Amino acid sequence: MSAELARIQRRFYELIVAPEGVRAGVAALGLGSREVEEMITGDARLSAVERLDLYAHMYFFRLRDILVTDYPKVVTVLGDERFHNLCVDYLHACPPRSASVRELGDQLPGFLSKNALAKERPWLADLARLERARLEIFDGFADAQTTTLETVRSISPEELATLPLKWIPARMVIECDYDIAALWRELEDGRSIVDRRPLRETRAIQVWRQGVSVYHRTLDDDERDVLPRIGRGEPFGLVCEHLAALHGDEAAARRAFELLARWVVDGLLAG
Amino acid sequence: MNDFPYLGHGIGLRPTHYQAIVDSDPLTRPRIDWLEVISENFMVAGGNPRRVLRAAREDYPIVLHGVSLSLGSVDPLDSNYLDRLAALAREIEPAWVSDHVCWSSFGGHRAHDLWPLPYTEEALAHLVERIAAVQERLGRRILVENVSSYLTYTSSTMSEWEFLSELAQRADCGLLLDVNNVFVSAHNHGFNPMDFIRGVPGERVGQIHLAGHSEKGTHLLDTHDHPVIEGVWALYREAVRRCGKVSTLIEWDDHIPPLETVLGEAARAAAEERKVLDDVR
Repeated sequence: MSAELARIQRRFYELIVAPEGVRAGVAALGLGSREVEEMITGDARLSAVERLDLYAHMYFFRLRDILVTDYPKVVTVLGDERFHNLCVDYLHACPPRSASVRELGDQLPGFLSKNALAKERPWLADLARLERARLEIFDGFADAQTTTLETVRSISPEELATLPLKWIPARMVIECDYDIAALWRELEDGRSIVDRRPLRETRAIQVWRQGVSVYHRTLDDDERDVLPRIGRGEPFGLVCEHLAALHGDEAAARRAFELLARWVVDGLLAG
Repeated sequence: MNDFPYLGHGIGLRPTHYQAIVDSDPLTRPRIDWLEVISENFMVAGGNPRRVLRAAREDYPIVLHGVSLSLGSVDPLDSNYLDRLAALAREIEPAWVSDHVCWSSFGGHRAHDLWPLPYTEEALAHLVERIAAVQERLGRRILVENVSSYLTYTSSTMSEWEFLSELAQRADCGLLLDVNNVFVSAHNHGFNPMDFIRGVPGERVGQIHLAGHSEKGTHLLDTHDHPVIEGVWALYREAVRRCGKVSTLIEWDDHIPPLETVLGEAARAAAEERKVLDDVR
């Protein structure tokens, strides 16, 4: 066991991540600058505490910059200063645990939903959830061949009815209490943000990757209704029957083929 | 014993240059000796990073350079990370795999930084054991890099270059000599950088890094956002005199200029190496 190495690393780490900075961390641990100088060499240019402070700054700002990159729309809404303060609280509550910086912000949507900022803008956690979903879809799931319109056209209606549809891996659905897709467009267009009221029912947004691009779209009621059926591997015929129970045979057939064409064009079906 | 092949003078593959390198016409892709990629950026399941890496691998030798092994940490080695790194190495077949002589995790928390170690027998033994475990898991010898540092520990009993020399010998690994890091650390701690360059075993050096840094008044900061300065070129010439032909890489990670500018730095490294070796002959 590397006892002295462990002691040094513990002390170094505690001081680096102290939320109010190294000096405050030294005081909070009941230490004096002498104890730090016994561990770290200072000189006329930089004291031991100042040298540790360089690392503390680099630690925080590197992680904050990653969160800024991962959540640009949340930054736009909050502004730099409030996002900075959010990062201080977040990193203290949820220090990074993954070897990849990609996972650094994975708990931010949940953290935001319980944060004081959510009182002022309760839709902020939903916005963060969409930003996070897009990031995860960007590179988080295996690539897959997709079904083409030509393939679908080449299948007889009888075969199509028994065909189990399968989603591509790089796809997820998030549930939102607010109309975040509309908010997203407003932010994309640089419009000022109008405060949101919660929807009467949650809305589902599908996020997926087509090629190397990430897309999202709010699901309509029919699509939301049948998605879990496809996820369970039900064949297209059963999906049509379900829609027929809702809309009648003629409208259901039209609707089912509309949905199928949309999924194929969007590259959502593996094939 | 140096079984890390000589690849010439390469550059780090960064997203800014993806288009210029891998999305250009395969027949007219830029001539680059080799590419180094940050391993963690490609340890993902799919999407653009994997597409870029596959495309780059078709035309260029690739080296995997990691920042998260946390070789010096007292935390256990991250077996999940090692599994993913091993899988990536199996798929990409890099010329070699490298990481840093540092620690970057404590109590399961990750710093995503490169924190310096005390240069003690205890730290040396700890690192030797862990590098052996990594080499065993990857089925290959790795290169370990000296980091830029802004503090030293009072408990250190040897110089950084003595520590690295012992480490390479005992762990039977190679060294990635970051000449810019030597320059930065020498300034920050007041040692002669030539002592460092002359102090490491040349036959163990499998790769050299060159980069720019920033002057911060009280210290130099390893920012990788400037051209290589003349003082670092001078150290590089000395490193070539000591080590001979060693694969050399230009790192540029912030305020990244057009590809031609980075390739110009790689071309200068090639010219500096040629001149030193011609003079030696």
